[in-house]
Amino acid sequence: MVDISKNTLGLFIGLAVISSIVGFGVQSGLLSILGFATTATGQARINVTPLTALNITHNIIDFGNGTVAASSVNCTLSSDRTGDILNCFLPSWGNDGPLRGGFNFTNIGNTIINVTVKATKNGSQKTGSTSFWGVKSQGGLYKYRCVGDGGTSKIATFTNVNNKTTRCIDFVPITLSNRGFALHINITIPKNATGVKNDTLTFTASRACASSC
Amino acid sequence: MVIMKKELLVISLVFLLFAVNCESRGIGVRSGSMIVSINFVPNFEQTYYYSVVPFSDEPMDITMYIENDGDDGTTTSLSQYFIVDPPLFKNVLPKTEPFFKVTVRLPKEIKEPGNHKIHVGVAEAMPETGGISVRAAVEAIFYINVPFDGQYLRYSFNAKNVNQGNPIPIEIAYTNRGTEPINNIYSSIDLLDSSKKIIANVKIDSFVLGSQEEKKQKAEISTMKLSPGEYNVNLTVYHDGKQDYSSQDVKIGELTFKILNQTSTLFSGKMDEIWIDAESQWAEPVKGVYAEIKIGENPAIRTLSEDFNGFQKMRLKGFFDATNMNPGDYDMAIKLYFEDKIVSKTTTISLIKENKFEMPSLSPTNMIFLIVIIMIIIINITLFFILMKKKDEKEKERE
Repeated sequence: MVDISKNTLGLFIGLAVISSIVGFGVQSGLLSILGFATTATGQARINVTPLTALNITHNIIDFGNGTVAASSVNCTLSSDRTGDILNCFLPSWGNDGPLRGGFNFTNIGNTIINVTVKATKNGSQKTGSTSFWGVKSQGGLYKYRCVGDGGTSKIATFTNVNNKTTRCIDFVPITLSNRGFALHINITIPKNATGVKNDTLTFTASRACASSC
Repeated sequence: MVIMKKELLVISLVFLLFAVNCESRGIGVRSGSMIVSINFVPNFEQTYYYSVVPFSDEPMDITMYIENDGDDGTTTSLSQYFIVDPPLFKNVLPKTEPFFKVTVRLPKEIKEPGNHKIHVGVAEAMPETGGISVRAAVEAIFYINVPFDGQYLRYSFNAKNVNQGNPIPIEIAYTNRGTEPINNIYSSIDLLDSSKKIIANVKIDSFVLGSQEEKKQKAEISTMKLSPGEYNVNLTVYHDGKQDYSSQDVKIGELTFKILNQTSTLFSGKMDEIWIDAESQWAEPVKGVYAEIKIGENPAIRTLSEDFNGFQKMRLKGFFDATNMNPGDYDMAIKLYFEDKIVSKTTTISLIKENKFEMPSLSPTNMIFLIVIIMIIIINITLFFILMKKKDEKEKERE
């Protein structure tokens, strides 16, 4: 056995302590915190699942209360202010939406979407259970149109509301500035209109392209 | 009273028509299977998974549905081969994402060939409010491709607009929707100028396309010796002794703009909006395009600047102060600035006087004179009626 001097032993103990501290530092990342350069490799993996989504941001058109003027045979209310409000004696144009009049929608998913609209009632049918106005109010009209900041409107001008699936707007983008669109309602109320009229419009979004487009 | 009742009915109609609740809400579907294309094979079976994402502060009822498209050119109902599990979610809480699965189990045989389209949808439950209500839905689209007997080639092609010097990229997509393979397909592409003269030709290699197979081919046409303008790309597809044709217009661009139209009339004596319609002749976006418009000897005004996409037409708007200008025709010089270039146009613009209804100004003397005349007319009319009444009374007394 070779005798080891106290100094040599002290040197070994010192080296062991220093190497332990350095090893701990490297393993724990302490050295990098203290400003020492370290190198490492890693892999980041993320799986983004496509989300197709449609949000109704404004689902009311409030024209307020009113009546057909005594001197008129009907009056037309339109959420885009193209009606004849003077014939309706109404206090507003129904343009009380946060963005604009009409029902407002937003593409809140991460895919470009096409949107269809389907009503339960029909604006052009004058009789039958799906007629919006019914046989007693033949002069009534019930129309809609779609407008968007982005995308391509497929009902650009007011068209009779249809109870079959109809393309509303294609290629609604996901960019914040132009992912919104609206559906405007244009309704002509005949003077002899009676009863309460109901309808539900279903807006259906589907992914526009199988891959990016 | 009858009128009052009728008016009340209309009031209630209008009110109820549009009185629906106003909360923001929506629905989403998270899945990698939003568009699914299945080439029919007997007894095909596969399950697809979807999670429903409600966007509402309140619990929602959500229904799932399967529908045939109805407009896909087929009549066979294939929705019967789709099973949704579960078909309904009651009271889905916000920030939860329940999942459902769709199992497709196709039969041994589907007799009707074609692209059958089926909608797998997720919708809010029907609202119970009166008036016109709205609800949101999201659909996944399934295509079941049932092959036609024999050979059935479908193809499409796309040629892009480019700038001068860059090749025109062309992509052709072929699909054999038939039961039999197509043994020899090849294509030929002609580029025609505005006089319909063939100025370039590209031939693409032949290949074999099996039943239900798809293939894409790419080609390029050089534009090095061509001038900017509009051209026509003609595609001829040869397949097992048959030929099919299709064509598409393309543009070869240069970095310039066309000034298409501009304001021709302004009102003198006021601040007017003025505009010019411009069209980019460049295939890439051009940023910060604006115009300077000088009318007569007035200082030039500058329009707002706009960013143009490739070959886009856009209106550039500005305001011109014609407060101190007299009606008449003036020279208008337009300079359109883009990148480091300028396009100019000189034309004329008419300043006209705005038609306004103005009350005629009357001096106090004239005003008094007018009032006196009106009073005389009123007195005359009144006297006329009084005399007529007295005359009637006298005639009655004689009788």
